[in-house]
Amino acid sequence: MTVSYSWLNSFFKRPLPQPEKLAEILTMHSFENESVEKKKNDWVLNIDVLPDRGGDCFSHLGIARECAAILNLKMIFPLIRIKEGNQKIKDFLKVEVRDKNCQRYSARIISNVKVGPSPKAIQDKLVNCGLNPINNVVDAANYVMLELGQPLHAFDYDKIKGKKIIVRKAKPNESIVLLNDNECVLDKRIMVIADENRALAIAGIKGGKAAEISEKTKTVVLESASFEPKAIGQTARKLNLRTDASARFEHNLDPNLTETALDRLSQLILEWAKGEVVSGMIDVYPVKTKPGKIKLEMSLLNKILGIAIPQNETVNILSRLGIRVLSKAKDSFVLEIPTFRQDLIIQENVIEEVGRIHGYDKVPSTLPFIKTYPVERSKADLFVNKARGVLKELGFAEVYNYSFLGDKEKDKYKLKMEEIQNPTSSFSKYLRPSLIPLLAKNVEENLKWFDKVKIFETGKVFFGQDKKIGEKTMLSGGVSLKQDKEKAFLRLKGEISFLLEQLGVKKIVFEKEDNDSLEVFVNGEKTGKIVRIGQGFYFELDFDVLIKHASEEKEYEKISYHPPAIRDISGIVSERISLEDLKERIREGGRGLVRGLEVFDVYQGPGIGKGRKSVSFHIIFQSEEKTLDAETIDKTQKEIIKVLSEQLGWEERK
Amino acid sequence: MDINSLKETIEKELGGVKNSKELRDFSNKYLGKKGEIRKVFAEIKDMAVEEKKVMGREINEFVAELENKIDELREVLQEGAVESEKINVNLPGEKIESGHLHPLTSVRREIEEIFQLMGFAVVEGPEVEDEWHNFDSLNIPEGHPARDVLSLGKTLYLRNKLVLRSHTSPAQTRYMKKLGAPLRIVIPGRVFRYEKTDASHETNFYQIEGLMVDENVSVANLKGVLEKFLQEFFKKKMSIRFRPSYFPFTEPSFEIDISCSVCSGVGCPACKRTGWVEILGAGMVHPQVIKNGGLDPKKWNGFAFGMSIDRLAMMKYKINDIRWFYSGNLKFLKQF
Repeated sequence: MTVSYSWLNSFFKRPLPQPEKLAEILTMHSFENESVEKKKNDWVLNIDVLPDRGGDCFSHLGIARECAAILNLKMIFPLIRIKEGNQKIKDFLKVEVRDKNCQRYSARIISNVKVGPSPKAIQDKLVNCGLNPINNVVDAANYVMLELGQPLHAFDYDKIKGKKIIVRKAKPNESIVLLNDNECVLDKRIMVIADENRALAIAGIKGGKAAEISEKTKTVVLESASFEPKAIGQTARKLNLRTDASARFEHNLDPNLTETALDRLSQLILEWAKGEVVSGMIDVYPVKTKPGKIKLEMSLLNKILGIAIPQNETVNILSRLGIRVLSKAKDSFVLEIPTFRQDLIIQENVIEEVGRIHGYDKVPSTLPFIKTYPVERSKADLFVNKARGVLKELGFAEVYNYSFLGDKEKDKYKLKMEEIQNPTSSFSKYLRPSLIPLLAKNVEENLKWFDKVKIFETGKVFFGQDKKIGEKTMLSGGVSLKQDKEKAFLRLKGEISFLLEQLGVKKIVFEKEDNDSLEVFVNGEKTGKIVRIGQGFYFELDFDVLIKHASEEKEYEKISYHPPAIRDISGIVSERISLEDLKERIREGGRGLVRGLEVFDVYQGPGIGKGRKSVSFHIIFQSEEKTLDAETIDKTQKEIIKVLSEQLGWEERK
Repeated sequence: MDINSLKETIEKELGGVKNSKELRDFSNKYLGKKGEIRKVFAEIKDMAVEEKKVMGREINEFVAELENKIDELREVLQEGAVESEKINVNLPGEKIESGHLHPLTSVRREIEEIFQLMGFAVVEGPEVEDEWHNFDSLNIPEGHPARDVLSLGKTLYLRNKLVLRSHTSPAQTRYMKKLGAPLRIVIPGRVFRYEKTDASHETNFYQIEGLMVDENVSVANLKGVLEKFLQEFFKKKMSIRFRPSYFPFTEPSFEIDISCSVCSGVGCPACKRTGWVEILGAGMVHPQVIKNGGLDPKKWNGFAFGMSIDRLAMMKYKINDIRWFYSGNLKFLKQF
């Protein structure tokens, strides 16, 4: 809201503080001031009126009331007095309201006006406040809107067919040519102001050409109405037509304001465009808005604000806001809320009023007195943070990517994704089902500047689940593979094992999916994969699965002082048998004497036979009780080989 | 025996000694207990007294000379050995490649830790929300401008009345229902907006929501907690101010400014010449929201606040464009 400083001052006998100072006071007690600008003969304040105060503060009167309440100043109001003529309004016009979204429709008629430019000083004021002067009738309507906050409209009486105004819903495919010459097609949810034949204006939003005021206009019909805010807001947004009128009607304007505004408008038109006011006012106002009542408890006020504001100070602040005390009990008041404060509904609304006028700077800073209670630590959060630390140790850099993917990724990776109904662009039409596509993009991009790229990301990915959309936490990463691909792959595989071990995951199994990819299993449950895309290898771990198997627990393993003995075994098995299976059987056959186990060779190829592989292990034998003699070790080794061959078809190589 | 030919042999052999081990062997061979020199002494034992005297002196002189030479050579050889093991400590240290945590991860952790120390638990809410939690539970009914798809509403809509959460506030009622009261939580997380991106706007970014519900919570407590938080985060006493604001889910509502760190409150372009920078939205939880969380507003009240983690990180590291965070650019990320 652009507010003229001199206009504000006209509401007071004593001058207000300087513009900059006033802006600061309003910022601290009412609304933020974005800027103060010097204009022709004046200053303007750009005030960011809060959305719940649009009903009374999109006006100079409203802002002046704020100044009066904060600074405890007495206001003076313009004197509104009009002399009516002899002709009666009912002989001129009938008004029929057929739409419940019109809460009040008030109208006056002025005959014999002389349409022309409005006074220079008025034109300057309008320009300073961001409006273009048009003619004395329209300018008067705009002036009163800026002054009191009530949007008003003037029709050329002679252009109204049937001498009747009807407030109704638009007919299907009805259209209207607006004052800016744009044609607008309406639908049956849109409320219009019409005569017997056609729509003259879109209610609460914009007037039409049909009954526009022109230099030839002799008699004007002045409309001052009240509409349901939601209806106006929705229409304005639907038509993408936001006007000074709609911006005000979208808020809770005081329906009781229409009459005052209409009289003020008539007064100014008489002053600037001459003419004669027809006797009487048409006023369709079926349900009158009455002042509200709110009970205010001082104990709640003090509890919420955390400061004891004395009763008399509270009453004083309320009266400065136009709120009257109807009755008083020991600790509470019943208050009468003026109808221009439609935003005050519950006690807490009033407490906010008292708090802000009193000044939040007077509220002390007090740490709360708290009760302790046990808080469950989030396991997911704990392990995600741990995983981040481990990956950082391994030299990975953490990236954050968007949660969105576009058609490009959809086609490239053949993804099935949840769609966003109102995406911001074609690059962000879908919810990511995986972190890998954008990590792959990151790797390719960064390879322009770096020889080696190692990155990871944790974040939510999304998937359809009948009527719902599921989400889960993923941990993914990527490494570039400029040099030795196998080395790069095995390094990554080792890093994933390291990561999982650090998270306390016990049984990790990698299974070959195809040439360039592996699947990762934890305790037999599929947890993730490693894949190759272009110039990089990427891994993906389902953190929700991982967490189930992760553990912070550690147990001390007794350190033996007896010497260990190392023996090697080599053999041939089917390639389908995993290293983890072999290890498990070796431990089984070792009967507690296998202290360490390490694979030192895996070979597939000529001399071994198709579908088979050769595997070699170092086995470390050690006992907690005694030094193992050669005989015991030989016996144990034979037992291991027996278990391997019986259960997994192991053929020992000599 | 020819003492002179022995001398000659010894001199020649000594000239061929190349390292300490050879020198040790050489020394043992000639000067050791069973060495050649001893043998010579044994041989002259039976000579005439006069002859024995002359020979004895000559041999002793030779031995002394030889021992000197060996000592000299030993030193030379040892120096040589040290030379080969010598290190140049003045060369630059090896460059260690470290990994990096994203600045938003670090800042988020730091914020969480400060609130944890004040007794707030860290919890998370879903990124895909239903309209009830994102809007209705927070007093934003159907038809409210904030829910509009086209202009005012910056919400990204999905199917079946689902949305990408536009703020972390929907978690307020979720956790009131789940954990009851008293309650002290912070809810960090990713939020989504329909935005044209620029240096200060993104389509996804991070917020942290705070919520305290108890029997006796006041604006003064909100002030105390936030002042303490800002002081801990910025590592100095911060000037802050509470301005009136409006949110449908808090009453009273505030916007909280901190003194501009660029100009120390004097006024500069960074703070639009006001000396203050807006950093937080907050307020006392609206009684209807307490009720929507399944609690009795007559018994329980509370405060809530929300702030952008991205914005705090930008202030902390003096980052001028929010889009760096989501660029995946290692030139940026390796700085942290």
